[in-house]
Amino acid sequence: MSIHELTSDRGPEDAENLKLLQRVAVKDRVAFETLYRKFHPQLTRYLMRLMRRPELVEEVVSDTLFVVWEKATQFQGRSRVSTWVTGIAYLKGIKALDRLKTMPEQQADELNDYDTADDSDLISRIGLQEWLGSGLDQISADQRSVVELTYFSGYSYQEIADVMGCPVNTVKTRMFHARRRLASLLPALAKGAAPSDSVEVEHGEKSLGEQENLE
Amino acid sequence: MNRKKHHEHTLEVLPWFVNDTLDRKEREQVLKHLAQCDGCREERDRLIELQKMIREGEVVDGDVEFSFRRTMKRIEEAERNRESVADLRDRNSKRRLFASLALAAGLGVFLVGTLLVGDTGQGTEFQTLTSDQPGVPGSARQMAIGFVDPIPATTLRQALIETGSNIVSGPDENGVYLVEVEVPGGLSHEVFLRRIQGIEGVKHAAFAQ
Repeated sequence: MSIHELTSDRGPEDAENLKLLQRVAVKDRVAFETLYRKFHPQLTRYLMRLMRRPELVEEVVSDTLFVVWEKATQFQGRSRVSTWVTGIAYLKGIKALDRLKTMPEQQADELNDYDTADDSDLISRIGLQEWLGSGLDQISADQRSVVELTYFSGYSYQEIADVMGCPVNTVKTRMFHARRRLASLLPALAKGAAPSDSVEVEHGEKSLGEQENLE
Repeated sequence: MNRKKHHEHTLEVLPWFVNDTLDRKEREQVLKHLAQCDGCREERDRLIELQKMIREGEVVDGDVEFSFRRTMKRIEEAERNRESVADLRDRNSKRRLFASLALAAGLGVFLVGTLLVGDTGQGTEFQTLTSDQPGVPGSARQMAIGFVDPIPATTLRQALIETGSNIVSGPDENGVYLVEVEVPGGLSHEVFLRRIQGIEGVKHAAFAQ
């Protein structure tokens, strides 16, 4: 089905985004600018959380919206427009992080200056937000993505699975590991906060590959 | 679902209970379990706290003006590139077409010419490859011909029809056609072959064994 035949029953915001995207599909620059201004803040925020690399985020936001311009005609309405756009941002962000892994050591060291790696004296040194930031630094990018999309963007687990192109059980597994890790790092969440081991076993059976990747 | 399963399921989906995206049935199941499980209620409260921390966190203020200008510049560059690639492709395809037509015309004119010039008036007389003596009867021969630029099969076919020759097979993976030609009377096969080889655009020509 062509994008121009699509209608949205996912609320007024999605309907408005769809109309903009339909205009973008016929290369309407005014519509693209409107869409750009609308998505730029939320993509910046999401990618900042996902990547923890402020110096790379702007580039990835631009890459993402460039793809939206180029591929708008390929939107098939299987999800909300924002889910589709966030899915592109996720793939671009993960790709950028992968490139970083293959970067020569010296360049990577320079970029590491942005990290807040030392968590030994965090309580006295920084506030709760910085502590959260540090906690997020210590979970994987995929886990951060699930946490951000759940708590900040307010996505359902099915929508997160759509964004990240993985099964729902993988989303739940990633959330499980993220919660357990954050609970061990953040005092506000520490007291008995980790999900029980029995839940882990159940997830382990459902998504063994994921467990191997994360450990 | 037994109580333990309910407990595990509730723990699993609590983040999405907290962000209010569970469907009605699942939400009701969680509510029912929460009413009887202190541990899950505590976990729910902690997740609400986590959600609050995350929502209040880092105000990200990217420069949308800069970003938009930069992306538009990329888009314009990409469009320019696409246009020049399309232009180049168009020019190449026209050049190839003209070359093919010229080649086919050349081949056609040559074959017609050799048929007329070489015609001794004896109609069906041919020369053999081993004899340069005009007037010695020959035979139709198969010849492999390859071209510098691939020539469209239809163009070549048309030229050969015009000259009474046939495409036997081809083009093969090297663009070589096997054609059946009539060597006109008065021309030896060697001369005929050299003339074919001398046509501009013919890369390779040889009589088939």
